Amino acid sequence: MALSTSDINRIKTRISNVLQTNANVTLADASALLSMKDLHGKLYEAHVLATVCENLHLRENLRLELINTGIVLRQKGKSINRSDPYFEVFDIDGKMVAELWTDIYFYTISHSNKGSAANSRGDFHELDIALIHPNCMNKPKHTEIIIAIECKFTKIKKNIIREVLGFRRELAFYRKEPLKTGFTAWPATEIKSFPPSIHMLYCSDGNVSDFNRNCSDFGVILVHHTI
Amino acid sequence: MEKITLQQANEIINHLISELEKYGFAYVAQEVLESIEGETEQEIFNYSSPKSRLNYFFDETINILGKYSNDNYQSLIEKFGKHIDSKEKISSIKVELAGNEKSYVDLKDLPSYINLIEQLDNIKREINSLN
Repeated sequence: MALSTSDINRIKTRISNVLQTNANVTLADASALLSMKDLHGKLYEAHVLATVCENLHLRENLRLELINTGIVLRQKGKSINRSDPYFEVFDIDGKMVAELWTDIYFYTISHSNKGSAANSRGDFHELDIALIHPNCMNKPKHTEIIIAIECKFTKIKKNIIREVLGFRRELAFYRKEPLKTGFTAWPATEIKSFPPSIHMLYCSDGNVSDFNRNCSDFGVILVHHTI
Repeated sequence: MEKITLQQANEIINHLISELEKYGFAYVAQEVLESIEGETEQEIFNYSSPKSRLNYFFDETINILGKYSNDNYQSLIEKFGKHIDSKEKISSIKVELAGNEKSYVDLKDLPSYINLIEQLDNIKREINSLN
């Protein structure tokens, strides 16, 4: 015998009540400016950033210092602005070896090949997290990128992998024989690219590992990371 | 023998999805529906009964809410503090809004869904106890 109509109605009412009660915990003000999905994407980016800091500190024995106040991510990428918060990265001898930025643009290989200072929107792309050479101005060139990180808080789909591989094409050239990266352990000691920049995709979906081999061939490291 | 019919299971599922959308969880509803799009034949078989189909939707909703639940913000702040030198203690993580420099959203304000997850799980248990 099927459930009674009163059973079904009671269950539906409970669902409505539970969701209505919890509706006020969604961010009404913020979500008007930025969707909840985007905000959660940024929270994911913050978790990845913390993990990157942890790895640089513990596995590479580097010291990170926050410049300016607070940790700030951006809804949209922009050029380097030295009044924004960023991190200076020092080696064990106290020499500054890199800077860590969030949500900045970099100039692409195709822009470099054009040999023109003129900017079209295809001349630069956004990096969610970027370890770059010290003292870069405006938009770093592809040759000034040490680690480029993209964060995807979503199910992995093939279009994301295509996007990542296309992005990689604008960041470094494929090289059959790997080159030394300068890192001793993390994220990789050598990489199949020139310049030997490391491109990483952090993704919340474990199925990202289906594409490990395809991407590693082009110097892209895929990481399944949950928060 | 299961008491819940396919029609009743679908009625509850549709209600769950529409109420998620109504009360500000449209992004959760969307992901639940997207999870069905990519299903394999084996997965369809696994919830071919009305009860297992209904359980699948509740489980997926709970899993997605769990993914979005901001439960470890403080430990995230502490992690930054542990690995970064800073003149001032790190106490927040903000998002600068596009086109509006110096306008920020603080990620600490993202909600935790622990209570909601527990309540939805209770409803799922009630449905299963009726079967």
